[in-house]
Amino acid sequence: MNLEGYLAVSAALFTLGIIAFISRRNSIAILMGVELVLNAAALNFVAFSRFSVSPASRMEGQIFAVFIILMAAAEAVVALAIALTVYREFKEIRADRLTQLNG
Amino acid sequence: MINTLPYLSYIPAHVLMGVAILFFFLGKVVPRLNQISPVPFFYLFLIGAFIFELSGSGTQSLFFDLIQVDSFSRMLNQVFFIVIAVTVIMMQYNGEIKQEITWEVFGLLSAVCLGMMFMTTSTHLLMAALAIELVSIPSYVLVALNAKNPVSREAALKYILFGSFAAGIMLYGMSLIFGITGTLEFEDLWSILGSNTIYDSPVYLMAILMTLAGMVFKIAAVPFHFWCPDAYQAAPTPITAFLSTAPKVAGLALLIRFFSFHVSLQAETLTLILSILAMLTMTIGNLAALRQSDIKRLLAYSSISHAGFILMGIAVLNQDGRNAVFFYIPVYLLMNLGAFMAVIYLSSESNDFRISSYSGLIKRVPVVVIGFTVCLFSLAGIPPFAGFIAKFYLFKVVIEKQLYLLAVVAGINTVIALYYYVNVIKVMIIDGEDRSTTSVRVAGGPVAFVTVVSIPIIIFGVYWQPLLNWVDKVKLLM
Repeated sequence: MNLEGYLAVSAALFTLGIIAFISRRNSIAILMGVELVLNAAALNFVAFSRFSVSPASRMEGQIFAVFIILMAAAEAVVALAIALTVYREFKEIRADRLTQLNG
Repeated sequence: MINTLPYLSYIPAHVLMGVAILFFFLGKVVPRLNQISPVPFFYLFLIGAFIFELSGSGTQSLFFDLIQVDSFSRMLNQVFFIVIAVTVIMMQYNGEIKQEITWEVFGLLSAVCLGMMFMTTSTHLLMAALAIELVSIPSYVLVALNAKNPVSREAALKYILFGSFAAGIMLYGMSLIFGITGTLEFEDLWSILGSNTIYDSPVYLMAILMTLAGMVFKIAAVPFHFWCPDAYQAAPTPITAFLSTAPKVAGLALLIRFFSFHVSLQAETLTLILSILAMLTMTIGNLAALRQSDIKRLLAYSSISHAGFILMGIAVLNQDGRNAVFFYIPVYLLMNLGAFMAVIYLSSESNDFRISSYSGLIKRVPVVVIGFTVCLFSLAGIPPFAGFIAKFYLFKVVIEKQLYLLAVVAGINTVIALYYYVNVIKVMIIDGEDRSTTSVRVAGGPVAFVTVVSIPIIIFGVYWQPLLNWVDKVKLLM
């Protein structure tokens, strides 16, 4: 498989993530969209480093991908914790129903 | 085996990291620790880190060229320590954060501070991304901690969804930059972007714009500003004051360092992108501020429009522009921290942040109201206050660079901004008193603070040589 194949998959993931972020109403589903975007970036890094010519940037891309996975995990943990407290407080998790703050 | 120790010795960062881990650990493990105040210990470590930062000199690349410690980062990090110290003072006069979790809150604050220190020092996209996340993730939690206002949970949820989305876009942009250039170092990637014909292709623009997203999110500029008013309104007020100042400065520092390596080939496109962002940010921020009735929301939109003004200085992409931004930063910190301290003082007892609840306060607490008025006039940019001089420098560099449209839009925005700042002042000073139940607690600290802050705002408005000296020291040496 060549580089274009990987880039097409990652671009598709990225687009799907953005569509999910914009169109979904449930906070958890929005978070899943964000995870898709993050994984698209990680896939890009791995693909670029796989097809890179210099050995230094081969390492760099893969390390970056590992760090993206870590960041995604950290963000998911905090986001789910906050979503849990929101649910306890309002008994609601759909973003369009959470409208205490407006203006 | 090489000795790696010299590459890793960035002592202030180690101190902050130690505090973050230690305070979290102690807060969870030691029972009944919350009966002891963490404030003295925290100040001890903060002063230690400040002294280490103060005593450093020279320029070093550390962590295998991921970060660069120089006079620029050192001066800004000292500013962060001072802002955090002020935030801690604010928390003493504000009961919005529960007593039981103070140790963890201080741990979170030091984690944010560590992230901001890496934002000012990073010279590598990986470090920049990590630093932005390290600032963002504790900020989400800090926003959710308002015990008096359960809506803060909702604000935090919106904040984290927007934040991680912006981070995702930024990482995708970074991956494109990595694909184009094969490197992640600021200096190398700009020179490679400039050296071939890619600099005006759509991929280049997309990569730069997406990478900008994460940095722009941190300074709350359009189009990543939606989180800002909600988070600022619902967060505990000291945290709002903190978020509207220190991470914003850190984001600007990162932008400045990132764009300082651009080669002249790309300058025109970048100036265009950044000035469009600046114009949109200040206009949208100001127009939304016009119809706010909540003082924290108003200050949130005002901080968005200020981010737009500061972006003007970055958009011109030269040393003069950077100097104007450095001039603006301390003035902005003084005005904003002063304004928030006044808000904490005036609202903490009643927990009422409507502007209308401030009517006629001049009769009851004249000193604070006058200090608040000075801060607001300065935010509006009226002479003879320091805010005017800071704005004047920004206009000067923009006109010298012949970005006349930007200057005109900024001028119109200054006039719009005047309206809503003066409205608050009118409510406080001219309107009659119409509430009988709310009381204003008498506390010495905030009164003293607001007074102390408003004095340099007046002095710097007339005699700004000390600020110019500061700008001279903070200058990014190329």
